Amino acid sequence: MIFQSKPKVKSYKVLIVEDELKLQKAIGDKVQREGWQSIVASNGEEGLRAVMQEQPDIVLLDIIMPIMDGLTMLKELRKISDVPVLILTNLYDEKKLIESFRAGSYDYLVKSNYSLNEVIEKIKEALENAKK
Amino acid sequence: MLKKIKRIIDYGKSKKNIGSKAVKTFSFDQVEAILSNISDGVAVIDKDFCIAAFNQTAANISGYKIEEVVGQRYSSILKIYRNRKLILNDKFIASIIEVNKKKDLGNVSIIINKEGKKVVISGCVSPYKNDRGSIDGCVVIFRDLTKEKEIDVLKTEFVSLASHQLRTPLTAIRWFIEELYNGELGELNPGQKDYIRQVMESNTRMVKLVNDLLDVSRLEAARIRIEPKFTDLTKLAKDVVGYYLPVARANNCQVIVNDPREVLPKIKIDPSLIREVLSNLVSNAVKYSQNKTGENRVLISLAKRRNDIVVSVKDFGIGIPKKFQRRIFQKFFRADNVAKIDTGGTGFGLYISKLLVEASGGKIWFESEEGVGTTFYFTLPLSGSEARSGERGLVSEEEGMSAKI
Repeated sequence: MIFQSKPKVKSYKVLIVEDELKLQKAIGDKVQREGWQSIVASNGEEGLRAVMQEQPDIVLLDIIMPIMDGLTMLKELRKISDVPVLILTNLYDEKKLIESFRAGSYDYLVKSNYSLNEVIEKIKEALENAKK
Repeated sequence: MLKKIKRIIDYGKSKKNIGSKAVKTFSFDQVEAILSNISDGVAVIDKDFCIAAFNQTAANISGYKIEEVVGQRYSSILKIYRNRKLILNDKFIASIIEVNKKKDLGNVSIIINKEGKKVVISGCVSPYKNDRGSIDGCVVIFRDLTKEKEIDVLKTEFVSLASHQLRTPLTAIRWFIEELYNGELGELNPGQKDYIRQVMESNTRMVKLVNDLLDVSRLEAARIRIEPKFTDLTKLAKDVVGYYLPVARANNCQVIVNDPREVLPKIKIDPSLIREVLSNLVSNAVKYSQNKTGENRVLISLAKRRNDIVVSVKDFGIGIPKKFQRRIFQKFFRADNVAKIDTGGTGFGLYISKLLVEASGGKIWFESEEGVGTTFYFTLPLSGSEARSGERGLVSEEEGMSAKI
């Protein structure tokens, strides 16, 4: 048995938009170990489609991706949905950071500075705030 | 280069003077041929500030033809700037002729060519003597650095890109390993846990190296933004110390900020850059305060001098061995007594600190005795740092980026 799922408190649907397969898997597995459901998309276009089809509770969004980058997707997404979006990137760039907040992201996390547990905490925080 | 030319000319002269015994003398044409084949621009300015000679390379760099410039006043031809100020002016030349000493034009100066375009050069100006030994004027030697600059930009971009790319797999390693270590996939036995911890620590070090490398490449290329703000340095120092208290406690170390004798004026510096300098110095001081008697102290003091504020960070730790003191600000350098204690260091901290202090208009130095302790000092000008536009701040600063907003 690979996953020892924790008792389900509440099952969330988490959309991971990330072009790096290894990171997709790391976050996806972690989300599932939390007892939540994970959906993955590898670029902005796939991400938009997934939002419409799956109606996730939260979106984890990378910035640099092929076909459609994260910020473009975020702007498109805001036209159709208020789903909370956590930017999860390795790009250190204040311009992108400000742009993402303006476009309506919940937070901007630099991947290499966060553990998965901290990412999970951020997801919970964003979901809590979204309920209010 | 100039010395060589001078030697050649002197050689020519001396042979001429010997007269009948001369083996070989350089004719004027030969000297001209030599000058024209030199890859540095050479311009001779006489006492009346007119151009007496100009070689082909000088013509290529400046965009003027040789026959256009000879006899003209230098100031309309050789417009050389350093830090946006006209450096090659009458006063500069007069002082060289008067003092009889070579002066630098700087390593990244600018010459405005005939078309009004900026060309990056390095150069120097030397006095030259006539037959009778009195100074007749000066020789300006300058080199086109355009190619070097282009390569530098490419290098920086490469490092920057490579660092970003490196971070992705490092993140993947961190995330998988941490989950294993935390027992998310089942408990590990102590041996397994120890090995996994070694991997985690190596990974952390690698992330830090990559971040530092990125900072260094930005600093070296002067691409870091400097945004001076009026800053209370004592408060900044206390903030930094607060951040290191947990580490200090773990090391059984007391970190004290001495309140300055007089209230220090707020000065205009970029607090994010100076915070990084203080962080590096304080974290080193705490790490290397390994006094066996058990009581470790780090003292931070601030004082006003004539034109600046001096900050000192004093520890009573292992000290820097004499033979390493010369190399302490070099990048990647780590003294061997330090490397034994702390395997996680990258050898970038002091190098970055030096770049940051200098970019802020200050100086950094230290006093140290092995086994007794080390004091690092740095100054910041009361007049403040010069602002500089640039794309970004430091990577290390950006770690707390989202928290700030």
